[in-house]
Amino acid sequence: MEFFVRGFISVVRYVLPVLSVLLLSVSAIGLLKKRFKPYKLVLNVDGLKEIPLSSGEYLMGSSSECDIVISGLKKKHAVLSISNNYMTIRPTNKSKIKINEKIVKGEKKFAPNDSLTMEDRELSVIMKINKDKSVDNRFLQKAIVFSCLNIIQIFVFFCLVFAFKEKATVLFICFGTLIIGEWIYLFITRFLCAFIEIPVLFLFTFGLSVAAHGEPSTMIKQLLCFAVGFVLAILLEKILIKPSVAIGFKGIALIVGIGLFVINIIFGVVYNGSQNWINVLGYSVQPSEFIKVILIFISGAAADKINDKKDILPFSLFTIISLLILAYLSDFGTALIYAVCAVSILFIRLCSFKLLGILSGGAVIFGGTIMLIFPYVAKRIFSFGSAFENASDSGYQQTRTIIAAASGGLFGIGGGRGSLVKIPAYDTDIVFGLITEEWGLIIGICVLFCFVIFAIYAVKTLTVSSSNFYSTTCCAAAVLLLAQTALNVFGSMDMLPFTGVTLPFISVGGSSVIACTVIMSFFRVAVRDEHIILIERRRKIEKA
Amino acid sequence: MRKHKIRRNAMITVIMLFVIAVGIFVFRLIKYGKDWALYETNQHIYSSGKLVNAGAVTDRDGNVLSETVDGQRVYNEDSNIRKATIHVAGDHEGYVSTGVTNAWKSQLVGYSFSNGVFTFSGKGNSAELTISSDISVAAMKALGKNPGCVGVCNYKTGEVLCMVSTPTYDISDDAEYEKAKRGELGSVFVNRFISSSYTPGSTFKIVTAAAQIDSLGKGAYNSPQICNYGTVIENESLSCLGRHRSVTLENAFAHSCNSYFSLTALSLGKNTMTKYAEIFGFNKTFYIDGIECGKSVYDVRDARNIDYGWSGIGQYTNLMNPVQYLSMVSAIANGGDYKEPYFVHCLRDSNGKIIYKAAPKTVTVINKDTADKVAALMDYAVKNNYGKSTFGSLDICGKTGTAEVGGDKENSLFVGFCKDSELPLAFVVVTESSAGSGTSAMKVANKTLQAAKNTLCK
Repeated sequence: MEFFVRGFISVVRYVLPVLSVLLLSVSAIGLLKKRFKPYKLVLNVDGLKEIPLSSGEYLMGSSSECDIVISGLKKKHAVLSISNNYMTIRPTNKSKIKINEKIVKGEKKFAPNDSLTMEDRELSVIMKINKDKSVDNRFLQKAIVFSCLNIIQIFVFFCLVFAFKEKATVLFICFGTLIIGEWIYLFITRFLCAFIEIPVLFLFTFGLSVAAHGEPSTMIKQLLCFAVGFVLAILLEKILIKPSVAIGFKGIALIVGIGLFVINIIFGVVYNGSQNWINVLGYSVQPSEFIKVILIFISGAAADKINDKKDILPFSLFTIISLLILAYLSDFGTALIYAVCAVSILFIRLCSFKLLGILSGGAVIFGGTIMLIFPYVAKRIFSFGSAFENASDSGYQQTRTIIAAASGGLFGIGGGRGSLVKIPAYDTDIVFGLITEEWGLIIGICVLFCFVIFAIYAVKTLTVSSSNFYSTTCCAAAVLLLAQTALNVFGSMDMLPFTGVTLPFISVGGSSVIACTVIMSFFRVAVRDEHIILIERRRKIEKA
Repeated sequence: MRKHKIRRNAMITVIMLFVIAVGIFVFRLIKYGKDWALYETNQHIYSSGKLVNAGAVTDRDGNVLSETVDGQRVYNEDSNIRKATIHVAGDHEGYVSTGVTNAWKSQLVGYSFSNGVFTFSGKGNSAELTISSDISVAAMKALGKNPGCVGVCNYKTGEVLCMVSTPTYDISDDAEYEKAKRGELGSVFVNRFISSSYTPGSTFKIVTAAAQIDSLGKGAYNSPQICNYGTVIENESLSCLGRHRSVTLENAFAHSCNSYFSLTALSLGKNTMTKYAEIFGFNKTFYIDGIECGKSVYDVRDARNIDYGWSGIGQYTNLMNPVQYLSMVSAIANGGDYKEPYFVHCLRDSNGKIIYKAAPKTVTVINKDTADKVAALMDYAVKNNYGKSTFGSLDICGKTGTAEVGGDKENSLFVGFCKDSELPLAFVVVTESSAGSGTSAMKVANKTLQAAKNTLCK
């Protein structure tokens, strides 16, 4: 038996990285592939010039700052927006626009081939239908990719069963439920979001392998939280799928966010030096994890109309209040993630380098002040990079993490066999060390690559989404996940300050898993939006 | 869509930063992974600071020098073998840094960048050494209480059969080990054979003689020098133990005439002497199985003539390293070239599969003619001065040397080789002892070589 187990591990440690790389590559390609468009839109100017259009907002005018420059117009004449099922035009600066000879006031819908008159220029949006090509959902491809994921999960399961024979039943229940759950979810959603789910499920599988080191209940709790997160995400998607409706919830989101902070301040329990935990019915909950979702939501609401500058105030205020409260709660890791996320969003929203400078300056001043008030923070921040000189005190966890990562080599020493489990926070703050130790550097890089996939998809949404709400929330979510991953991984590897934040989907902890799963709903609606444009418009074209 | 472009570039910048950080992380892991994995808190390899995951270390006859049994590192049962081989085998706490357990730690625990510390059996790799425990014990006993070292190698193959350093300690004797750790037993953790540098004394005359022979050819033998209990160089006297009068190369070498060799060095010139010293490995860093050896020095650039004269007979600032000397003697014995000495014969993984096998490089030092002539000088020295009978039936060629090291201490050296083709052994012996016991290194060499003969010609 012992020989068989060793043989199994010796083979699996090579098979798993290969499968993982394949799986993630296919899902990344599937996600990023340009979809076939059944039509294309062009802006016709005076019947002479044609400008191709895709989804999004276009500022039109004679100024060179505009997206579409047409001489003879006012500097910033109008905002043309092309969204899900309709197109609108909105005059700016009291400029004059006529649709079919009728003067327009405020935002107005119009149809293809309607004549738009601005000053003396005749414009119209023309829809050109591409030759038919079937827009299939690639069910079979997605099913095969999911089966590949299942093979990985089954291998992980067996590795863990061999390492923890006494937990075989719990492992069987958890992995069984996960695999069955995946397929039920796939059929319910008609495989629509399969490619964005694969990295999530991949990450969560290794999250479960970490949880397997703890009490049997840890795994079940982890899986339950994942399921709860999915249900919440599906509910949230119902709101998010219509941006105009979603933006209406902005006020409520703000109130809930501030409310959560207030609860945190009043009922907060100090744990590991920061007061970011509250006890609810015997469970410890981390409100700041849930406020991340609200931060992303508000960022999207703030950036719906990118050519208006009014609506960033609530977002900015919320961010500043959040940072102050997090500093008060001594949760500097989360504060850093919020700050990075907020700066990125404001830049993405306003595209202003001047603003970027001001914000960075502000961040430096804010950080400096914090360090003056809490000198231990400064000490902690500037002690990174020298973990091995302080291996028995301030660098204790980092050195053990680095040693574990180096011990794993490229292919790992086998699931459930890590030595890092003897070190505090092995399943949260320094979890990446355990992953690379047990499963190897290749899987470790695959884990990091998952977050890169989300971010690259967010870049894609910038040009394909029908609303800025989708693209901005995706970018916000991607930056947040990347920042959090970087702080966790590079912090524990002594390349950044060790702040003790969680690794999304992998770190053991209910709040973190629920929040991260809910955050994925922003990506899912973007994927669905991408498909809806295709499917619904094709139907419309077919009707016509 | 200019804003879209800015937004896209902003996001791509964020992603690139992350990817670069991942790249740095991987680069650091490639560069420092080995050091990190072998760090003493790694519980795959160590248990409370003690190396436990390494495989066995065995000598050339298969005797276990050290191995891991039930998570504990244990050593040979025989106390003498433990003491004689501890510097070769190394210890589990890393005190003897040049021992194979420490110098070859990553190979013994089976670390590689791709596999980390994973091995199929969960056990490390084992090392088979070329060392003979029996010869080592004989050498250790011969050295007795004197600090010193003995190195014996096969000059045809480069295999090191014996590498003993004293003082030593018994790692399994807890009281003694504790004393050793507290420094009460002297520098017991140093392998003097690998890490020390000694003043070569008269053994350096081998280099001067080789320079003379190689550069003057036949003329080398008929250029006498005058010795009158020494000589005078620029009004400063350089002493010699005997009054050799008009002496030529062979007798000067056999009777170790200081006057002859210092004047010869002067006549050859600094450049020629430096060239030949460097040919024999001075001023070079030697490695034995990848372990860096102590330095050997011949530097006469700023020497006054009298000092330069002293340098020709192995004094002044000259330093030799035993590994370097063993290579030099091997080259002379072997007709001008030698195989690099090594003591790790092979490594086997836990299934017995050989994963490393020593493949010593051949290094050419001088031409065969010169080598043979120097060898003949060493043969002549034994026949006419030290006495062939000293070595029983062994046909030994050699050169002694003495170096005063302050106080009444002096180092006694004996280097040479056995001419017997059945027993192609080169040796270097250094003893650090009280003045006046000039022949002790030769005695140690004899006892060691007799043991070698008994062991190898069984």
